[in-house]
Amino acid sequence: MTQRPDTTPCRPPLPVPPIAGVGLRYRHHEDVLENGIKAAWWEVHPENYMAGAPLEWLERIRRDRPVSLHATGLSLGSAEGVEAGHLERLAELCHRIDPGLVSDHLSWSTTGKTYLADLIPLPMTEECLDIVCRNVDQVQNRLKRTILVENPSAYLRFQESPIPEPLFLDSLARRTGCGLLLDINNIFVSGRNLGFDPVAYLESIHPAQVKEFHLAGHAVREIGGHILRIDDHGSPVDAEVWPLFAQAVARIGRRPTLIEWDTDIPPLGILLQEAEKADLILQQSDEVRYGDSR
Amino acid sequence: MATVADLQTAFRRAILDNQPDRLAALIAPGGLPVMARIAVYRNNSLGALTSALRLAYPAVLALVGEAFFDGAAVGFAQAAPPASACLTLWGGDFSSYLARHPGCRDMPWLADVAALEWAVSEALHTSEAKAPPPCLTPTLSCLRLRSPADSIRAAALAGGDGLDRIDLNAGPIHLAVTRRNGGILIRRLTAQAWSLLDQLAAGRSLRQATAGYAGDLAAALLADFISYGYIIGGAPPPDGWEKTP
Repeated sequence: MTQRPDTTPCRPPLPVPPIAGVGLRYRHHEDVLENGIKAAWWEVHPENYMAGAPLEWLERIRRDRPVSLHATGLSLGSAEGVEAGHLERLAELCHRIDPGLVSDHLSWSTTGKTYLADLIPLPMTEECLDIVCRNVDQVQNRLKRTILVENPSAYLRFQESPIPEPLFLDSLARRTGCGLLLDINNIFVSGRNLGFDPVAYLESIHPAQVKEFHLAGHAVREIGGHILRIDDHGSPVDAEVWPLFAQAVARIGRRPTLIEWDTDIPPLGILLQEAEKADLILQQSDEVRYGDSR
Repeated sequence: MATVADLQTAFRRAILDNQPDRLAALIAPGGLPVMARIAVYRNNSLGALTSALRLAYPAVLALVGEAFFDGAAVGFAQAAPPASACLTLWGGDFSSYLARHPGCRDMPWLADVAALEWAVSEALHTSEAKAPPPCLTPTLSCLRLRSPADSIRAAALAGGDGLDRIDLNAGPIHLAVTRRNGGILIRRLTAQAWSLLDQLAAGRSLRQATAGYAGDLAAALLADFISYGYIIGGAPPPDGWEKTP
């Protein structure tokens, strides 16, 4: 009798639950790998885990907690397309890790075969929408899964940018089938920097398209008498962002929610406390909905 | 109206070439001056690239200080920016850049320390599954350095303790750098042992690599390479097998 090939995945897929998780950075690896501290789920930047020892660490982390891969390097808005080598590395990582979610940003970072290491804003034009749709299609076809696209923070607006960002995201989601990762801090930061109303932005988003929320802190800088909000992920979630998150949850519903912290990173316990705050708001939303339904 | 490609080229010139005028003309005015808005992105971009080099070169950072390091890192990033978003793969030429940097003339050993740190980074980020020569760990780097870069690096990472007692002319040294059991192993070899290992790493067959060695010595060195994990599972390269240059 011929033995059938074993097609069982090396591990069952772990979906990311609609509760608060934490962005995992190198400085907390010892807490997680050696001391057994756990968040409900972890999100990592795949660019830091594509080979070698970091990949082995991520495989250990993934054994008992869901993992979301939040890319920063696909450059979904690049006119020259997605870099094939980077997409292949991400595909290989997805194969190894089997993440619950995969996401990147509505931005660009690569031009002329040069990676600029920042999430740079796009002009909201029809030409740009075609480019982003083409790139998202390419990524989703290669990964054989839908991805989430995150609204960016911005410090400038282009003169030719006629499509409102929520409408741009809605068109992108409809044309490609991708989901949206709604970063509440980014809505607030961009709203303050560019002069739009974050609540009106939120109300323009189609709830069914949103599959994840992000929360992070930002810095407030005064430059030449002007206030600029910098999305540096270097402090607790701003007091004005929490109510916006509560409105988002009330309107959109419970979604996996991530606490991000990338500069001046504190002990892991501080991030877990921030996650508890987010969980309280997610739970309150459930209570309101339950009360409404009776 | 500029195309998206035009706009992205203008952004690259603003960040890497300090030529923001074309980009500035594409940005809506109002509130904070346009040049200040562009500067935020320039600082973010060059800051992120500098941070990547700081992670890869902690001993060089400790030896030269933040101000000098960051200046050199920005110069390197503008001269040789990454092509890929996987920044752990970028920065291997930083040692050559430092060797040519006018500010490093009084530190001829600095480029050696940087070369050693890059070998450490490569050992950390190389997948063991991808093994070019059949029997050697792909995390292995063989370095022949003019200065005692291993001692300098160790002292720098320990806060500078003992730096003044290192004989900077005590080279050359012969190093093997690998990842083993999750840690990085940096080991000095004799010139004979290093030469044999370096030949094997270059893809020469066992017969070719050991041709100039007495039988007992070759056997002892190969046993040492196995015990330190330089030679790993699988068959050794077959005789006559030669890596294509």
